Amino acid sequence: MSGARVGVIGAVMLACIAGPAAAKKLKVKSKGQVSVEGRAFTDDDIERTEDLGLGLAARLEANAKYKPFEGQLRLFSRVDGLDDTRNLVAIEELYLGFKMKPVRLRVGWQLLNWSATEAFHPADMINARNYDSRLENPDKLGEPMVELEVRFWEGNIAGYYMPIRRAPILPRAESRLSPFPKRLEVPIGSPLFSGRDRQISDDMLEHQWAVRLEQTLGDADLSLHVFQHVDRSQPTQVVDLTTGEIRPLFHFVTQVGGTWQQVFGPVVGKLEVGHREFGFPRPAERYRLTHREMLDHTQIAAGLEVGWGVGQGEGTVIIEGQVMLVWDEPQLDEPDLGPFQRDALLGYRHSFNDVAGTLLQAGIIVDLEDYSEMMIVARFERRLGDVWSLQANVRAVLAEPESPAGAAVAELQAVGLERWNGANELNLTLSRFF
Amino acid sequence: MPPRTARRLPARALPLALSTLALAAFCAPAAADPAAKGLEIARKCDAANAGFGSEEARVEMVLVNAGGDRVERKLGMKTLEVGDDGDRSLLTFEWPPDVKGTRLLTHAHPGDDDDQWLYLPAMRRVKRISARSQSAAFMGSEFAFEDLGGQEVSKYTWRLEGEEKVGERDVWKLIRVPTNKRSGYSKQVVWMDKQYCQPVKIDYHDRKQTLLKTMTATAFARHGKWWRPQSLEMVNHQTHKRSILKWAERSMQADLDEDDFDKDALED
Repeated sequence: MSGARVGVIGAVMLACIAGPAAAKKLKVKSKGQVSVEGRAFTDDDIERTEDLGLGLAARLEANAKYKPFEGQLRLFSRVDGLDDTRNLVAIEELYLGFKMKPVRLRVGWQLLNWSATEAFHPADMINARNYDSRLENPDKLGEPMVELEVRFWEGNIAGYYMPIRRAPILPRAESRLSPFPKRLEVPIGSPLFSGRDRQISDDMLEHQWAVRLEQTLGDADLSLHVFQHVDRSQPTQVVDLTTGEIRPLFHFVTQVGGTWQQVFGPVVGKLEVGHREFGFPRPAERYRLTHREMLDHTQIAAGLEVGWGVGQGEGTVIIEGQVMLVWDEPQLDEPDLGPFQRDALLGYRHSFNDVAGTLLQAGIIVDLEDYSEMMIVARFERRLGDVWSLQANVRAVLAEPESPAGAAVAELQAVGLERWNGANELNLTLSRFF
Repeated sequence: MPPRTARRLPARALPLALSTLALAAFCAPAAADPAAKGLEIARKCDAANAGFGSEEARVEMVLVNAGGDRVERKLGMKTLEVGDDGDRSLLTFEWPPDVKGTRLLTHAHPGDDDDQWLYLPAMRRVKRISARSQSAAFMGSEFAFEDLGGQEVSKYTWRLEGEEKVGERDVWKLIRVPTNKRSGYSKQVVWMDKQYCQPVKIDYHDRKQTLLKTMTATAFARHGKWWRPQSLEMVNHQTHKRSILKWAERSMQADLDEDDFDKDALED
């Protein structure tokens, strides 16, 4: 009998013996949803922008555990019949892991959530976002990384290495959620990165890392983090002199920060802090900076959640505020660091705790420097039977940019939330879960 | 004519009367103080139910509305006894599919608010929450969070009302009043089985002192030395809805430790 045959017979015998045991040890779970998503913006009277979207979306998730190993997959895709700029296939999670107490190792694409507060997220910065989703809380994209976590005391310490610069999804110029002036037909190019070496390039490779310590101390949860990576939340712009395109430029940043959550009876207090120091890009022949450099700053968000029983349901009032403290140029009255810079949120969430899982949520975010600037959001969710669910989101943005030189100049000079003035949206999603 | 016993009593009844008096004197503190006796029974049953270490179960819940329509919910439950503190529990929602994977971790503390965290799988977020409104409905059912949470003796004041039979079962009838002001109940009437040391029936009275719900425990099974009901039915007398919790699988002294009940465990 040849060696190959012996090998095959041996393998079959081994499979017969080990198969049932392996099957018993292997645990596979899956779930998914298929949704019809519709969104409609109030008309902005601009021909080239797309005010309507109607698409079919799917999210598939599978998890396999074969102790001490695990694997996870979560994919999202959307095909939009009216606005094909929203067509998307995204990896949210795809990793292999190994877990043996107190150590956990994961390699692949992951979604991390380091948030404590509800509206503003200074600490939750690792993942790139899809900015053509929800303006107030954009969807995250999976970040390729190696994670090593060690549990100790009442929490853990985790280290992350992220070798790839994952670009965010930016809305096209035709999108109502685009941060660029809508009336000007400026060609928008692909993203650029300013790396650790401060060179501007579109190279995808970069050494990026993070360390996070998380502990529970009695009624409080605390976390501290430090990381160096390419920030994907606050781009500036450059002109590509070879193509004439405006291209978003993402900067290398060092961030230290943390979160704190503590329960005081029916009240939960929350604090989230991130201090960022950016690397200024070196001049490059091909690119001209059109925007002032990124300013080192500290973002602080704090809030309270107060809950109480209402019949069989629960009501929760959410109060949050956020400030950006700019250290480099404190005399600058209006640093342009994102849609939310010095704002407060007042929100209410009502869980009916009924068979349909009905949820109603409403909130208003007001600019504390200009009370006429605000965003109003409302959300309604209800299960229809066991496997269908309806979700409605409404958002209104009231942040008119002003300039004595007229509306077109005002739009060019818009900062913060002003860039999305009038991006009033109704979003309806009907989902079938399985 | 005077009763015959009146004349006979002194001669025959004296030893009996003395014995009764002696017995009454011996039992007086408990008999005269139903609160002390109630607390003693509650503690005795608490001790009888302790020592299981940990428990893992799969539970199905059927919600029936006044018209008889039924919907089903499924969840996994894990519990860990902690020697000098309240129990730790982890609930994992498995059905309906839109909430599949959502988890609620509770660290109960006798005499203090519980610590709770909610895991939202869609956002991969672990969220610290205040001990939920005690009276809020659990998954749209007739069970409130406080009905299913830790039933530590110190969370109530107790009183023994008497001894009765529920069906064929011998029970103590106890009144317990929640000490937590956020409880949705003014009092609960508990029929505690003498053998199982578990409630076989509880009447829940709302804050207006009106009978709100009745829970009935049935199909008791022995797991090691511990008796546990395999089914709990809660009937709401005001809405005429009812909810039935059924244990599909249950294992005591499961292979669980404290690491299975910390925040990290929510994401596993």
